[in-house]
Amino acid sequence: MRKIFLTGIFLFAAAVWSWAAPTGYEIMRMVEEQPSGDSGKQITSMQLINSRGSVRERKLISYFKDYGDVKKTVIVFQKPGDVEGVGYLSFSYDEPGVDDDTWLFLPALRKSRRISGSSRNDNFMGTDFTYDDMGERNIEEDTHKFLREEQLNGKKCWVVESVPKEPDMYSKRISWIQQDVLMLVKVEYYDRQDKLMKVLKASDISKVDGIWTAGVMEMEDLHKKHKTVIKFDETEYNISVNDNFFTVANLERGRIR
Amino acid sequence: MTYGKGFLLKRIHSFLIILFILLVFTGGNIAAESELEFGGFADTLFAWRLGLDDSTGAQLLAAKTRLHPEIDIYAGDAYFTASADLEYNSLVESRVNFALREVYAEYAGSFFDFRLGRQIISWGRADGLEITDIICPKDKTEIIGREYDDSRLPVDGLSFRFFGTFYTIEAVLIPFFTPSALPTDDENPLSEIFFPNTISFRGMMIPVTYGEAKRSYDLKDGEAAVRASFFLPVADFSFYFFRGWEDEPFWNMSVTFPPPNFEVRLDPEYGRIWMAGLDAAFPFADFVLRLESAWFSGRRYMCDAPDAEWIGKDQIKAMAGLDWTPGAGWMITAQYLEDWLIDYDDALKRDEREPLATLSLSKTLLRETLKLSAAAMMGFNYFDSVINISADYALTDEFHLSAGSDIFLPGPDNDGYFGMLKKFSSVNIKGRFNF
Repeated sequence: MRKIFLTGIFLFAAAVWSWAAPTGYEIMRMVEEQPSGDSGKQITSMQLINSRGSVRERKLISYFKDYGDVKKTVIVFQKPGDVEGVGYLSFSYDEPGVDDDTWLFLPALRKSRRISGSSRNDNFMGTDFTYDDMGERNIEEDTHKFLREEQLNGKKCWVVESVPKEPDMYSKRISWIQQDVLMLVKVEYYDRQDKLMKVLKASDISKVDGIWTAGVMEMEDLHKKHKTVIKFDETEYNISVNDNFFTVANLERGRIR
Repeated sequence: MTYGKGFLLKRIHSFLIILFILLVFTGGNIAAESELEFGGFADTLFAWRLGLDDSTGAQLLAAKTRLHPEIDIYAGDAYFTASADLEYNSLVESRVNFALREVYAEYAGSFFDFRLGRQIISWGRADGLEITDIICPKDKTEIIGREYDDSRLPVDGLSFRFFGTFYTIEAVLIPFFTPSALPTDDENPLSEIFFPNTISFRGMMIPVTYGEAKRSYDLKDGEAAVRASFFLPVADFSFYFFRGWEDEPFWNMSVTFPPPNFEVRLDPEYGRIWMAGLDAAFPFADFVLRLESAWFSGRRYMCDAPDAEWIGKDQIKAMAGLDWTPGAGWMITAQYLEDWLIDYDDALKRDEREPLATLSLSKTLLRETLKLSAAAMMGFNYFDSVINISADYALTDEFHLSAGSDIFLPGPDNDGYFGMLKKFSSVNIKGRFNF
């Protein structure tokens, strides 16, 4: 009887532990499954700040629509003048290993061109974010390990280590996931020598149209002593967007506002 | 080009007509319901001859400043834009050029749009090579510090597009023909190569005068084109058809007598042509393979004998290009163009085949504030070539400074096209302010 009781206690404790601390993969799955809207619009300001404190600014507008197996996004730069009107249209597929379909519109050329969708490790328009950092990395591309629970900015967080299954510019990412909103609030990116390379911080979190959204994201490159601060000046979710909005013809019109 | 008062009035008239159309589209309430944006750029270019071929030395070859203002009016589904170039050429006294670039009104529905007015239309997948990109004539009056994409001249007409998720069908109607601008002006340094004041005729150097073509405003003399493009996960495809005019003329020679007062007169004549073409782009890994090809019918070619009649031949142009973006800001592009005449005649001045290859490399540094570029183009008949090197630095987001060089090299046995331009090998500096 005593043996059965102890076994029961052990199983209960194991179940509680398992409930209290899901695996790294489960945490990242929960983050991925958070509602992010079927469609949306964002007006974004970017500040690129170098080690001397000089600031360059960019402003862009983006729309997206999620079709389930494919997410279509269009991004157009509004400022500064040298990139005004430059636009990207991309179709990102859920299936791991499938490259995005991407078109780039350059107003000076007055035509769009198909570009390779695999240079995800290049920096996005001079910012500290790579194209991969900007997008939603498929969780199947990494092996996730739960490290610990800890408080960050007074909020309870899970800390998860994600190691790429294939060689990548980062050897690992360590993410802080705020438990009450299931969002990444801090990510440390480690280079191939396993040295801390970049730190991402998300703040000003609030619910927009019922969806938890970061109002500010800051990426600091510790090697290059450079920082990019992204502010989402305007965010809308589940808006009505015609399917033809996400077309090369619309991108080439150059009038996305 | 220098435009007189009549030209300006004519253009202002066109501008007002288009503005009127926009007013009709927007219910005449632009001020109340529209947004007005003003922008543009100012740039300046100085170029010095390298003097590689002779003793001309480092003469100033170009000194220009240009103001390019643009206005945009957004009025619901309607849109209006107008832009112009005001250019001051320091090397030609009192030479201020004015040119309307684009002035058009656009209406955009959810599955179609159309533009009416003066517009620039760019077709094809080749970089810096003209294959299917023949809707707009080209400004061939300058070669220094200028890129191919800057050379397109606007056309006045209507373009209509019908599109869906994976396709775009585009039709273009141009009521009257606009030819390419050629360096016929005596003050243009290119004229001594392409439009010399004397030519060799039967062993004598004879003065030559160049006539002007009469423009036709007959509806049947307009141009029309259609393009159907498809955008699929594995590739993009386009099919083209064009019916119009050669942008560059065939020169009819007439000789006046008696001796010794010979004079040669060359009168331009534009030929009616049609073009059918196709292109494709296949992305894979870090690469994009680009293909473009076109069949031209009705083209006219000069014979070796300058006073001989022209000969009409069909022409095929085909290009294969590969773009490689290995990352870290690198972009590498290689292209091979085959250009050949069908049923070649030995009496023709040009060669049966004129193959050409291009190679360009660029690298962005310092968070995309510095761009280093090198490009080369070589003709395979004579191994003549042109090499462009440039460095562009963004002092601020608005203000760019660049320095570069265009070097024209003749082939070992024959100048070839690029070798003819060897005296224009030059270095240049440019500044550009976007506002």
